[in-house]
Amino acid sequence: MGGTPGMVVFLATLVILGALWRIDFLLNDSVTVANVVTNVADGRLAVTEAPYALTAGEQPGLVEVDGVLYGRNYGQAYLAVPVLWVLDATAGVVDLRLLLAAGWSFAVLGLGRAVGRLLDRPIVGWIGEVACLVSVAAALLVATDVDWLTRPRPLVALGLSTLLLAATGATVCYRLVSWAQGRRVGFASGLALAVATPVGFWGSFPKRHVLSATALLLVVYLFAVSRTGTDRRAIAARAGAYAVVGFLASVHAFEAAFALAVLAPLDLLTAPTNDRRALGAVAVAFGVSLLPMVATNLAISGQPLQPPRTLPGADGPLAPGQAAIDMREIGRPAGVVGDAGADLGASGSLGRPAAAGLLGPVAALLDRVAWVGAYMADQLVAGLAAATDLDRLYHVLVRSGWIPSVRYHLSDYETLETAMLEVLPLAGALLALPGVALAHLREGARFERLRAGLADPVRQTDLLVGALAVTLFLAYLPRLPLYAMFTLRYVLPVMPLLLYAVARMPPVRAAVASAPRTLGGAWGVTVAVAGGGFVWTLAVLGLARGEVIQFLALSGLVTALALAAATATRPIHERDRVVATALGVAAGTTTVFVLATGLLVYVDGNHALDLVRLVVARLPAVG
Amino acid sequence: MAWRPGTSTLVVATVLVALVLAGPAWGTPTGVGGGTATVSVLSPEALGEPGASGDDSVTLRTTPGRFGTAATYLRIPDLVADVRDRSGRPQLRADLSVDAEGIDPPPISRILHRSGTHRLSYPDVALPPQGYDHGGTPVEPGSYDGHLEVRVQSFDGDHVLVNRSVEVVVDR
Repeated sequence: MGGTPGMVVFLATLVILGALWRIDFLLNDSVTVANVVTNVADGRLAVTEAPYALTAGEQPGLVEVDGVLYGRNYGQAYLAVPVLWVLDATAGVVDLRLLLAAGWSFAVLGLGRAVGRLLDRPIVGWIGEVACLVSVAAALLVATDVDWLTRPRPLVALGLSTLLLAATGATVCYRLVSWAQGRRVGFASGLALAVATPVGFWGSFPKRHVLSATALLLVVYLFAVSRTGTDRRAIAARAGAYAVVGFLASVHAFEAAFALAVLAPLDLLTAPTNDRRALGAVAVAFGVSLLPMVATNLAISGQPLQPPRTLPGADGPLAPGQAAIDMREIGRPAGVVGDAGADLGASGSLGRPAAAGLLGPVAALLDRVAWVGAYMADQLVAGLAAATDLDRLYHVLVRSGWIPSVRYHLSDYETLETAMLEVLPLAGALLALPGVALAHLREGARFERLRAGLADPVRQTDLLVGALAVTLFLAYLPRLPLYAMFTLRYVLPVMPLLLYAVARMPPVRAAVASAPRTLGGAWGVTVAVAGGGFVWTLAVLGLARGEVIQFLALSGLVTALALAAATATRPIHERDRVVATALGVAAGTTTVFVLATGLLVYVDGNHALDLVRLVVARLPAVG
Repeated sequence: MAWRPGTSTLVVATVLVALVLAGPAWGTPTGVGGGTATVSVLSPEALGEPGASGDDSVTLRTTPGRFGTAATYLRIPDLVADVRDRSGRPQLRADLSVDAEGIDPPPISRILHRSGTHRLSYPDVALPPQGYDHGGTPVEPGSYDGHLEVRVQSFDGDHVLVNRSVEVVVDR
């Protein structure tokens, strides 16, 4: 967990995102995964019970094999099922709403105690205890049923596991950045991941992206730890990095494949040792971690390396908005809606296996590995080509607005899509990277020193972070910009890596380490002033959803550019407080985005906590 | 040394006992039930006259999107209603239908779980800019007939409160 600061990061994430958590679907492909959770908990992979949908058409991503329906993202479901068991075990004893309120209140209590320990102020712990009691008492007074769902617990379990994953991701971020940049910068980064990146947006919805983001952070952290020695702990961490990638394959095989393609060569090149003990541990851990994916694939497609995502869809006659939500993800060819597997199967690469024909299962397996490799290479080549399209890059990275290529009729003509700097203004600091690198070179960096630097575990980790970020970004870039992304959700796993890169910049490190009060103050003032200003704007102008998102996006872009300017001019003004203020304002802007979207925009009386629901009902409504 | 519970342990224990005592079905239902309510529309004022027939037309006009969105919006004013003599869980429901393919605001409703003032917010309806050709249904500029119906519904009855024609003017 990382001691008391790690506990604070974990619990603060749970408390904040828990308050924003809605027991609902933002995108209808989550319906499929919630149904998968229901069926897996009942002991089967096939989707025979679908409490969240009446027809196959309501479940994008559903696939059909020999007349049997299956879902996807089974790894995500495997993580949610233990949570569901706990919820089911309490079903006959405790009311679901009260259970959720009590769980959140316990997190408040724990946070109070942890902050009290951190500040050496026991009174904060007592405040946490009182807040816990008051919160539960209030919940008892106003508790309502979750009666808009016939069977709420599987969806609640999926949402709760996503929340826990977000909190885990923030804690891993804290530990990773602490390791590289010191505890103070690590603490700020951990909290920032939760409230100043789109992870905060997605932590309160049951999508897989938070899982992917947390998994990649964990891979990087374990990689970092494994660079520091050859003892048992380092080897276990190295094996753990591969194990996380292996498990990720059961959630999204292609994201895992890209992660492996980056991790494996960098690991082998930079590991302190490649002896038999280390490589053996890696092989065993990776092999075991692949079992969930392999077993799932074998049971469904009969092929260990053919995930459900690549099988022919059973979506049926979908309405256009339903059909297309997730069809363009990696693993499905761009532009194909519906029968994607058949399209690729025609080329002999992705259809149901010809049981390897004359060549046998091993050759079939190798054939599939070769196909995966070729597919990934194709994606990266397409990504490189897309990266030369400046118009595309502008809309993906800088400014969204009304993007001419996006099919807005699938989101009721609302401009809900945003660009990277708009929702992750902290990444604005990276615009100053060329200048910072130049200053570094002027200070006398030479090729020999750079080469020696690559023997440094932190630099090696930087390399992994950079390679992962670039690879995943390029892999998804040809599909972007795209509707139903909200905050470029496909590249959400890249965002924590960018946060790490920002934290690694010397001006940022100096600012956070030497002016933490300025940073925190700027963040708090921004949240209060910009948050209040936003609510006022909403009340006065009566903004529609798309306008709200664009208003917030523009605010983010302005603060991103301000942060870029403050960081780039650091050698001139030489004031850490200027950079710290810009960081706080940029982070605060995203916090306002997370709060506004979680409390006002994507809401429908569906907050998990009744108290939040009642507060939200008294705020101005989004038109 | 004997273990002595701290205050946090006592707080947690108290909460757990309260949860168990409350039982598995403590929450109140949120859906529509039986009951009645006397409702008068306060805003828009044009809808408020009691006994109004369908003759007085209300006009809604589209306005341009702001902050970089090229969509045009049909902004439907909030419905503010005063609720008295309420019993049970009746529902206030408003439904605006427009004789134009491509303008299809969803009905809105609210459970009247208390007396007093209730505000129902219609989501604004976004219309595509001219020249948008990726799909969907284009809406040409012009004037369209619409119809607004506001009801109080429950399992005990269904009372029509407002039944008005509405003119929708789409500008570009």
